Amino acid sequence: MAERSIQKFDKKSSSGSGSETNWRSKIWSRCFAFDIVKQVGAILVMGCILGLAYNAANPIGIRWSESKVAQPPPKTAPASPVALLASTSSIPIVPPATGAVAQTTNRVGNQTTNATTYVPPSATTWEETKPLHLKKKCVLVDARSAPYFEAGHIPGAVNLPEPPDPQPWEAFIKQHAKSEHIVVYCSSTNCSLSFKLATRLAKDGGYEFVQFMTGGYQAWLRDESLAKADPATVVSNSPPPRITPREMPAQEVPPILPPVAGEMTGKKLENALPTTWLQARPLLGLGQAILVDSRPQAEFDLGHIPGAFSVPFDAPVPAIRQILADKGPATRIVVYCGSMGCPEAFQLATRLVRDLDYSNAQFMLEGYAEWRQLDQKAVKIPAPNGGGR
Amino acid sequence: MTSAAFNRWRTVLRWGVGLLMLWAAISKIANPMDFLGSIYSYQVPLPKTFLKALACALPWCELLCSLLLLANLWTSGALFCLDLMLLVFIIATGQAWLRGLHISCGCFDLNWMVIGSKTAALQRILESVAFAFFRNLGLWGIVSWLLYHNAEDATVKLVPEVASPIT
Repeated sequence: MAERSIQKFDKKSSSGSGSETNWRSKIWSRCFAFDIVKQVGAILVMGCILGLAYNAANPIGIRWSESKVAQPPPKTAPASPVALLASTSSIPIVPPATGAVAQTTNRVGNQTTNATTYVPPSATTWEETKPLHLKKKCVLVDARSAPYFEAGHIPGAVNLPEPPDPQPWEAFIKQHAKSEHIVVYCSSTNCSLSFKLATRLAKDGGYEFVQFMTGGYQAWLRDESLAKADPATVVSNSPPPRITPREMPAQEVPPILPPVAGEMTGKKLENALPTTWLQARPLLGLGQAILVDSRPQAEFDLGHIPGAFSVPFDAPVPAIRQILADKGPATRIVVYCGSMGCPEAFQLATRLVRDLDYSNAQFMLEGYAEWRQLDQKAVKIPAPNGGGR
Repeated sequence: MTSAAFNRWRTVLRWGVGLLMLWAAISKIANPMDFLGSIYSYQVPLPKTFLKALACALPWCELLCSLLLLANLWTSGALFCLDLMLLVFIIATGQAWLRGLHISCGCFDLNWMVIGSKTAALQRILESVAFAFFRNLGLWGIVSWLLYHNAEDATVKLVPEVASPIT
């Protein structure tokens, strides 16, 4: 066939009436002379077969049928968001420390101003949110843009793309009371839209109890696939035994920080999970967690949260091992960096999880700058042994 | 330019295109629902089932093409296939740009660089459809050039077989 093509090409080249014909025939011959069509056909067919087969086996793959959309959650709000969470979550929760809201009060020098206060959003997972959502005791908000929501979303979720346009934002504010429990999600662990929208809802919207769901829509997809494959493995929807802080002896009151996903699933995490200062503070106060500053040594020396260890985010593994020599792999480590949105805390916490097997390492969403604003004078954390210069 | 240097450049370009398409394919395969969302955001008047099938198959075609390019197997077929796909991408991004759609092109996973606020502006530029349109246009030019010369090579390789009886 190739020989025939070449002959045809030569024939066309020699007998072509003009340069244009020559050029065309040259391109045509070069492109189609050597079974390119067959190769292209084979690649496309193989791509289609592999793509469809992989999608069928992929728990987070594309769904051919639309998810049944549940009724929107009722407008009635729980009396106390913390009590609700304690009654429905499998994780014992205690209310934030006294004056949790006051922590956000803007302190300037010795004067406390009456700036608008808000409770920063906390992290949650689908395992925790699921029972609440099934009982319609929380409002699930999808922070992705409309086409992504249309492509697939958790049934019953409300779409409020981040950043929200004024009209849907006002409609959402009108529709949902400030005391409602809001859980915001986006695409996956990687995306930051849920945290941004959750902060906006708490700060600008005035919502009292806002959480952002790590794992996002992918976590729901995985869970739904698991439910279809083996219903027994799914998290039970029945409420766990209610444990209120008052019923527990004082010495058994657990800290507010919920267990990280690795503890609940028993699987090794790929990335560190986020936490907030509000969640980490009681643990640090009780000495049940250590604080790690991921900024460069020079910045650490200029100022840091009392009790923090200095572990620069790019420190080599042996150096980190040396600094954390007396800390076992189960130690809760809270990593922070310069300010909200800085990457070093996430990077170091993920290194601790992946490379050093500290499965309880988490990164703090707030950084040193926020701590200085919020809690500089309110907190007195005892310096841990061997660290916290 | 000597033919050896010319061939070296072509190999470098082929590897570059192969690695770029490999990255694009893997980031799409890793998060198919996000890719479907990106396709929906182009607002193309096509049936949803077709778009879903496209979201399933396209990343795998990209993956196959990139692996074939890297392995230098079926190179003409892989390049022609990429040429066709890039033409589709050019049309999609071009129409979105003309219509003024403020969407993310969904071509690559750029989440790794969005952690810091300093990179947010750069990420917005890299993910914009206007940038994607020109990038696809440039990539299409490179792939077409490689395809043309690759086919030429194949012709040259076969010429001795035809020409030997004459000489």
